[in-house]
Amino acid sequence: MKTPRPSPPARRRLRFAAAGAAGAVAGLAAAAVLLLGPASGAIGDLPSPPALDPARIIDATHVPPVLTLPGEPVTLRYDIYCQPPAGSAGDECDAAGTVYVRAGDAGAFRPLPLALDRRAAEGRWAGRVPADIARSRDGFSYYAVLRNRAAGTEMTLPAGGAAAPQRAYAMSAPVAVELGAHSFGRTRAATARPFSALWGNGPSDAGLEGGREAEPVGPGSFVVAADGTVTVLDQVHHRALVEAPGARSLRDVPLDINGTLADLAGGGDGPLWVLETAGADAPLLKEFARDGAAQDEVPLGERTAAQLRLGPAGPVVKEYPSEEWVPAVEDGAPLGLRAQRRAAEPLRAVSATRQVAVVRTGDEVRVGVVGPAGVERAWRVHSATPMAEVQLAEPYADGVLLVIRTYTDVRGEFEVVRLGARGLVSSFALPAEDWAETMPLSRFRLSGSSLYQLGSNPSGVHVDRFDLEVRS
Amino acid sequence: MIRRIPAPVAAFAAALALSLACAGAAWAYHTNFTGAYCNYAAPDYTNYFTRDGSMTVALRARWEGYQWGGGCWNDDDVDQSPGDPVERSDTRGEGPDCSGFTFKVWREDLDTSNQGAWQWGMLRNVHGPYSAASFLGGAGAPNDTYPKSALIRMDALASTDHVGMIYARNADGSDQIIEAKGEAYGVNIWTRTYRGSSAFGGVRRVGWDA
Repeated sequence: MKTPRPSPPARRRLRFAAAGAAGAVAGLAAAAVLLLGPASGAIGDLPSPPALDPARIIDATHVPPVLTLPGEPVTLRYDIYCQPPAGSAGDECDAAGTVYVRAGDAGAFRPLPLALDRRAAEGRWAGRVPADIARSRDGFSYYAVLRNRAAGTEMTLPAGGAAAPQRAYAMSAPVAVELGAHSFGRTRAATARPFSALWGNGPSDAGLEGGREAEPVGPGSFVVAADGTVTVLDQVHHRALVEAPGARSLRDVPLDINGTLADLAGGGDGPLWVLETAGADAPLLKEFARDGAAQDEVPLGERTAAQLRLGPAGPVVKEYPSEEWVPAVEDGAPLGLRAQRRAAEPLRAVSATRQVAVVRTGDEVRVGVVGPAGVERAWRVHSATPMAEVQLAEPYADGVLLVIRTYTDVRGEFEVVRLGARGLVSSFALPAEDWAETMPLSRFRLSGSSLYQLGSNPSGVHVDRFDLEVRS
Repeated sequence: MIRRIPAPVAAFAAALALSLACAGAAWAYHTNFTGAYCNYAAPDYTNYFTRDGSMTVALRARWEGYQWGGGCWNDDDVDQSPGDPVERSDTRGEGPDCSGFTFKVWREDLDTSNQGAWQWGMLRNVHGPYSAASFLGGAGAPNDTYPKSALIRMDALASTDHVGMIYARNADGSDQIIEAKGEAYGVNIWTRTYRGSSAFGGVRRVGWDA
């Protein structure tokens, strides 16, 4: 049967439809080229998966005792991680290690082989410090060399080894302080709020990073100048926000930073220092002039950088796994990695001759002021409520000011504890105000006789001031 | 005078625009890491698993990338999918997200009623059945809520938005946490103060041999 021939208008419609279909196919093809082209190119640019080197992974952790009691036995414990040997039935590292320990700061180190404590859930590689060294009135210093026996690789902890060993100080007569059980909800009101900003992307707003399956991250850190000017690191917007006392608006200082969670030090009349803790080049310390102009960059040597502070001789960074304070500059010039390792110190200097030592162990926080002759003053602070991190430990009047996080499984607050020669001078509680994440140990600053807290809620970020000489 | 656009040109433009719009911005960014390298190989059952061993699993992900909803990475210490659009599971980038990382490091089973331990290959593309919130609630037979003050290494701290595993304690009472933090962060070890935060709860993987 012959198919009827379409009429001229119908033929025009058919030609139009055919041309349209061809155009659509061409459009889809063009889209595929545009989309798949870059993607295919990206695949081609990916390097092949590397040949895995089992010797490459070796890491270790250790909690230094920091402050010891007279006659207290001391066991140094380490965890050592590496790839299990090929063909091994287990999945643990074939490890070994030696701690080199000596009394005080001078003399020869004595080797102390570490033994595997199979009953321990953590700190499984252990060595008991010989009694004559543990009892030394000068405390002791030590470092460890830890080995992956299967691969023949090793690491030294702290990284500076004998040149910059860890240090444990002997407390001769620490003052006991009992905090009792913490009463949640009885917090002190702020004296003033010298800084506040809403979340947003406007000129005076603070940036917030977060979303599904991510904690909200707000400004990472802040500093307070002697005149009360507050500078908040708004890393999400790559800037610092500055609020001076009496100023009508915030001033912003643009900073060439990568926008991830970072710490801040300096300010006032000096430069700003920013510690970047994440990203391909991290950890990295950056120096900026007061107007935000980039100055120096100092690469840091260890895997984890946790805190940045301005010491008497310049910026220092708390690094792990060494758990030491590492100077990043000397006489204004950046230090290389080798020099950083050798200049690392177990304690943070708070003046030219004094350091503060702090350690939380179980239900106790031990704190000491250390001078040239050793521990000058020390306290043992107990609480019936669990204590988490010590946020701040600074010399204050004739003692020390501590800010300790106290918590249960569902609540958390900060306890401000002022210690004097005879023990507890005063204490009060502060709300956590930790809706957005900051650098972990940069929520508090002490300036003069005022304590400042970086806090946040779902609306924005703020800095509150608490005058310490006012009775709560 | 208004000129009519020829039909093929109009169709071409419409198809191109529609295709590009449907593909979205993510496709133009992603590296298709999972398509190029990842697999769906079966995991190996292990009848002996330790915190030390899981630490090693975790350390091989250090310095790799972050992929929302992901769970596949190599061990070259480079994020091969940097700058992906966030919170998109279709970007096919390298790395786990926080809950996928915990699932794989804790060597869990896709069957939530099974406590057994399974060694997943690094390049096995698996996220597992748990979100951060479900870890927080102790969902699944291998997971249990646990008092925060008693947590030790390789236990986890979880909130409704995030989960990270304890790598070590610090002398000042903070913790080192190994975690898949986010697109700009990747996987690494950072000092955190999750333990004292009321947003976080303690979680323990059940059944460690050591």
